[in-house]
Amino acid sequence: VIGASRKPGKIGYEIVRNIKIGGFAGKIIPINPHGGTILGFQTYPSVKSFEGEIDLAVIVLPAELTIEAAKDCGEKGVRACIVISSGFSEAGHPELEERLIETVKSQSMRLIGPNTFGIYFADNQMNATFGPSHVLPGRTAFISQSGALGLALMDWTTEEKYGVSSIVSIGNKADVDDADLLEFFEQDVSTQLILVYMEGLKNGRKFYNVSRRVSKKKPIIVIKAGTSKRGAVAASSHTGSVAGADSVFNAAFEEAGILRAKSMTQAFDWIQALNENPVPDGEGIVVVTNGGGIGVLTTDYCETLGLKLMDLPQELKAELAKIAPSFGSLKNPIDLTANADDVIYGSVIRKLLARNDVDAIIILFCQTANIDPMLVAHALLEAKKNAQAPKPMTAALIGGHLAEQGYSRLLEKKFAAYPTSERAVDGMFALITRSRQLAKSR
Amino acid sequence: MIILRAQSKDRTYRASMIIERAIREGRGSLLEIEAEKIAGSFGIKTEASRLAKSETEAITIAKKIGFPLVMKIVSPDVIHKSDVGGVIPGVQNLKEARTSYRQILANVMRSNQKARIIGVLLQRMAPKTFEFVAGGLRDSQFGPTVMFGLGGIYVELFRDVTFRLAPLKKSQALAMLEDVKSSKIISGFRGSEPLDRNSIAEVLIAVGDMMTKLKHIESIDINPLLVYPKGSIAVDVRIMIQ
Repeated sequence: VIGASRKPGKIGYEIVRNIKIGGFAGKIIPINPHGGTILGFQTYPSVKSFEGEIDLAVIVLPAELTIEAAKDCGEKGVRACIVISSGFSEAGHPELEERLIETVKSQSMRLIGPNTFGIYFADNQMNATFGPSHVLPGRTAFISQSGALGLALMDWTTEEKYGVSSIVSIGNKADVDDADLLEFFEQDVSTQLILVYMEGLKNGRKFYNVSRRVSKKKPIIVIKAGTSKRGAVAASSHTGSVAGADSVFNAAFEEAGILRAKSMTQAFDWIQALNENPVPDGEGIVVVTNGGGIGVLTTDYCETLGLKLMDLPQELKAELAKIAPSFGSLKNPIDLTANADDVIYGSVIRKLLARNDVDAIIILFCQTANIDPMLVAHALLEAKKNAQAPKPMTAALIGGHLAEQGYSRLLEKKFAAYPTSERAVDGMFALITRSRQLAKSR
Repeated sequence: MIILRAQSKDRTYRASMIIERAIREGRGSLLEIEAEKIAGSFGIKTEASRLAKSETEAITIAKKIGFPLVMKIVSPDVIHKSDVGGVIPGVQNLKEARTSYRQILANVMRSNQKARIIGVLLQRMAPKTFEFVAGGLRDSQFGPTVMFGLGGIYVELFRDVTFRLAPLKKSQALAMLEDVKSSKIISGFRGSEPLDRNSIAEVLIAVGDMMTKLKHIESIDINPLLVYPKGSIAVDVRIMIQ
């Protein structure tokens, strides 16, 4: 850590502290001209005064000093660096950034940043960030162009028990860009899904080509903010004026098999559904509910998103009739009525899971006076556990704090669950879209 | 195959020559006749048209092409021809051709006295059908793209369009037709005959090729692209350059 500090609150201190607390097993070498120790680690006046190999340099110096530091690193044989410092192109000093890039390139190093809060990598427990000290390991890699948002989500993913396999604050993308990181996470065994927050791309073609390949192996969700620049000439053409800020991005993302989320909530609802479920084999969806009204709402919302509720075959209806209360509906959505308890839910889900013609199930439960949502949650977990072959399922437990406890339990046990029916449908939408994209790319 | 490749190189070369000349002359767009020539060489079918530099020439050409005709101003200073009265459709006979010629010049001069006028284009009027739009745009981040959608004068109003990155494969071009709401018109809407999908796909592929091979093209507008149960005709081709 070049620019390590012994003053708590300074970025140069927090980074050393996070690497230490995070449990990183490798050696930590603080570089500081004043000597002594920082958080128990021996400091060195320069990278060159340390004898031994260095894998990664985290540079936390004022912008104008980073170039010399990067040069020292290169000469020492360091191959990778993260420049945390700001004060480059984002602050109106593109020339400094140019010089930094030139230095790094001439030393054949790779650079993340500048202007980043660092990177977290779960595999070797390296938290080289000045964000939260404790991060929950998980299966989602998160690449963020925004610093503040990335930091907030670092905390949030831990709080909400999502977990991340890695967080990369990509900063100004002077060298390493989104596409490079996609290629890295394509190979990373701990990463199952990649989430990208981006404002713009320097090389859209490269991103398109790489993501088209990577998305065949791992889902990529992108939240894209901001508008792209367009030449004034183009605005005078029909094509230019209807292109809008987003249509080219949309087109590229769609072709590349990327799922584009409109909001953070949507992105995380999708992540949950995708991480906890297999991709459906087809599009035959069944909705199970204990309320007629919410069933209708859900049918409408499915239709809006282009999801089809399958027609139930006669013999399935006959089987269900033996379980379900007689005054319910055996059409799709299957309305088990407010009397349905955890036993009925469990039996119906088991029946549906056993069928080849059912591709996916959305389960809705509205909290009632006499049935504890926690029992229903357990019935769902039990049915999922005993299923012969896994099927994609999303559930909504709707109601007060009892319902909340129920779906929290489901989340803990890796069952995609939500507090509202719309979000359960959104989760299913991600699964069906993923299935369509994979079918298209084959 | 070798001959084909030589031809395709040749057409790119010829198109580049036209574009480079326009750049040298400091123009931001190609003339319609230049644009149609390039589009034609890439396999896009355009309506037969000829440039008349005088009233007498207009009459001679009108006799040759036949009626009905559409007459359009050709000027590097007029981009939106209809907006300044630079287009007169439905010209039925020689007498109308003569008055239309005068009328177009007068209209254009009224809107811009300094407009450089090259002449008036006479084009056979294609039979009425559904109007679509095909286009190309060089995106600052993704490079060449292709657009398709509902055309005519309502392009900007309804924005029923879709984009893809160029170059396009046939399957991608055909998929674009499904993207827009107007795809129902293509499959045959309320008793009308289904339209020629392949001919649209071929136009889109050609637009993608033009965008990919001719780096100085900033955008291409083919509006309207008239689509029939058999074949399509690009009626107005506009190419902006950088």
